[in-house]
Amino acid sequence: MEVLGMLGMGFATALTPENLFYCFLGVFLGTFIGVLPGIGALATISMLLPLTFHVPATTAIIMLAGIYYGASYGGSTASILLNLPGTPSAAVACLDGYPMAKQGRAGVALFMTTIASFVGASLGIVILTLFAPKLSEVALSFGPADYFAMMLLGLVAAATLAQGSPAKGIAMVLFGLCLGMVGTDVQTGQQRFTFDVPYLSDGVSLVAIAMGIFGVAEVIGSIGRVTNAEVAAQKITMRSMMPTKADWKASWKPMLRGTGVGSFFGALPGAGGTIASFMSYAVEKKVAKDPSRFGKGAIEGITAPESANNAAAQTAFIPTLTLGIPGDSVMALMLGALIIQGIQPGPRLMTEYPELFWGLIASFWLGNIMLLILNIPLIGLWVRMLRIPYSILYPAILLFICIGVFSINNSYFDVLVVMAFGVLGYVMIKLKFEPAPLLLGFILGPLMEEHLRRAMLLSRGDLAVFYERPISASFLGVTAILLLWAIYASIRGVSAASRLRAQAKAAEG
Amino acid sequence: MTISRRALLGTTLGAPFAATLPPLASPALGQSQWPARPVRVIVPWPPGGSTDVLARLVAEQLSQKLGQPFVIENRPGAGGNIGHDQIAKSTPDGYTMGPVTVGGWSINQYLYARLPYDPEKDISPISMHWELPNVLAVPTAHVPATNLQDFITWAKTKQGGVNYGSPGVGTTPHLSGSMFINRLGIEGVHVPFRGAAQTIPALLGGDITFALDNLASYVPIIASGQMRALAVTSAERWPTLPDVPTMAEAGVPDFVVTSWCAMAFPAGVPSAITQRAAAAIKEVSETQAMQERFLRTGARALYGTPEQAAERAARERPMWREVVRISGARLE
Repeated sequence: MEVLGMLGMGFATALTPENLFYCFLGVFLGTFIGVLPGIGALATISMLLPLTFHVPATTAIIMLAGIYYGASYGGSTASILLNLPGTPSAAVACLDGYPMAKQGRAGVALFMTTIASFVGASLGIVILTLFAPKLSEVALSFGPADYFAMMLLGLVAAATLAQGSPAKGIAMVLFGLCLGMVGTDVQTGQQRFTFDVPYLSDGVSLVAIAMGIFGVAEVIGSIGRVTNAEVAAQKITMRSMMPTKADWKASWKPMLRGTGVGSFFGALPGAGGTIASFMSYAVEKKVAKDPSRFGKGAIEGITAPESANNAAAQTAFIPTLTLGIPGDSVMALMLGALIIQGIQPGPRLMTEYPELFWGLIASFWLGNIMLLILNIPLIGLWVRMLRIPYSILYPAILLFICIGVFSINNSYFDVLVVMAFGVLGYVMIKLKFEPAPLLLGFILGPLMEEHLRRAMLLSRGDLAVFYERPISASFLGVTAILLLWAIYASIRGVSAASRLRAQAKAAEG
Repeated sequence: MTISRRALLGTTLGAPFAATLPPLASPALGQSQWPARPVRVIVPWPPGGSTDVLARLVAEQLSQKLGQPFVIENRPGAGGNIGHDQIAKSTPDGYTMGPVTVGGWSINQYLYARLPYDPEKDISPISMHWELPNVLAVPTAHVPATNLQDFITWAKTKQGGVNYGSPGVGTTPHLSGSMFINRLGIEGVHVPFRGAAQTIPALLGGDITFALDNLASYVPIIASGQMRALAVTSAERWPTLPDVPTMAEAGVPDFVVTSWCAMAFPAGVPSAITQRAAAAIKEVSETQAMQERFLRTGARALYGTPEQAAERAARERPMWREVVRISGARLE
């Protein structure tokens, strides 16, 4: 009941005209920068930071937070329409969203992702409101060994991301792991594969890789295609955007599962929305009756990850608000905004600045409702964007990608990286190698290495730490079951196939 | 190895140097127009961190005072070296400056096999900017000691030794942690993280035993009681943690290590502009309001002449060279 009283006070704060206006401004900007490929919340917030000096702290943080979760709403739009992830966490939405758009179901896909975003975010806020202290305790009980075991499970589950040849999928994961090695080794400070280029000493930029292998590659690939007539010819009516009953039926369970996965990963500092969306995709593919539909426009393939990354965007505030620990660089920037205002975020934020804390939470509810109302009418507009001739649309996209990638570190080197990965991505399309496993290997590889070596440092090299810690042991157990099941399934498949061949031979003979 | 306490005390506070600076209004030899257009402030660290936040506070005040925008540009990467290099290679006309931390002035040249710039020749200081000490913090739930001597005794008897965290190889928390265990003969393993955001949960979860980390990120968590501060590495007690003794008071003498930062121009900026910039920084930093805002973020606002900052950078070099050697850190 106490929570309700506090929340009431929060709404009183959030509903003042000034705060409502800034909340709307935040989510509005967030949606747009989410849609624009490359330009992310980080660049936008750092550009708007000086503006926040002149408004009260609560108002400032309400606006900045709106940009943050608003961007995760908009991120999937360009993925679906153009195969161009607006944010790295939206890269998963390319896998099934883009095929849906090609089938003329772009409107449906956008509608469902908006709903999925709303469901994920709303449930994420409920979890944040009710269980924040509990979840931050859970997050603290995760040691390096547990993180390692969790990431290992993730990597094994990720094997399911590959749609074509398993060998090519594994090759891409390994290539991703190799790319992840570039940079300064955290444990020793050794430079690895940096070739004396200082710009490589912090590794290759994730955004640059994602934009390159998905976005730029798509633009290069489009050169051969003459027109976008097939998409342009589609009529955009309200009906064509409405999901069918079957879409709803296929989506509600994935949304809930996605929310669960997303809420969990969001609450762990440093894991974040990108891993959450990849994981929930892998989960859906595992539980699906017919996994072969994935990659060809399966609606679960967009709704689950979308719920996951929006839930994660909300629960990411748990470590930030309860411990003052930023989960990612955008969170760090928001904490910086609070510090500039003279508020030191930390465990006592909730008691020392209750109006700020609960006002922010209340603004999440309001902001998400605004996003829902804002996004549904926009769908028609976005779909119409596909009618713009490629010769105008694609150069504009390339420009946005360059600006966006440059804006992250103000580094021209990253622009070269995105172009190099664009060429690589194009070669990959031609040779039928998939980009998603590469991206996951790139994200998880360095994290796994870091946690493994940290765990080994702490245990003084004793491997027992992995099965003595209950969390780590459970993750490893599940990983083992998953592997055994995969081996069993493939053996059964092989023997069934040989039986069939034998029967066929017998029939001939 | 010892660190000269006197050596580090010298420029701790900028206040006594007010008289040596020219008044802001005086015409300065043809450059009286500076700044006539916007000034770029290159921050070699990502937005949101201490260096960025403190630079923004000063930049905002400078914009108001001098009537030209001071625009922050973050150029993070390679332990600050990318940004330092940008400052060093920019046109020395007084329209590009940036905060360079102790690493950029006095440590990185011993740590990195190659530096793209020469800290002694390519950048020149304008004025001291801020300093903040490290704090020896332990998680209350996992470490029984309530004072530094008890902690040292406890750590020495601990089976398998202790673990200390840092935000990365070669950072001042790593170097001072390494100095601490070496000096006191404690068996310890350095566990590097990617910043305090990872170190704090690892401490609270009991994975690592202590950290001698930059004080700013730890103040709220110490205030909440989840961590205990056993000592600060400044020469005097720190205003926001008045009950925490200095290392010397807690029985570890000659252990004064602070992170500090000085604003820098590329070498070759006309002296009149540098003097005027130093005077402006002094004027915005000495106000009571600014001193308090800095303290709330965990640092102490400093100011002074270019010579004082250059002198401090030069004075600390031998000490850091020695600490880097002992820690065995090498980045190549």
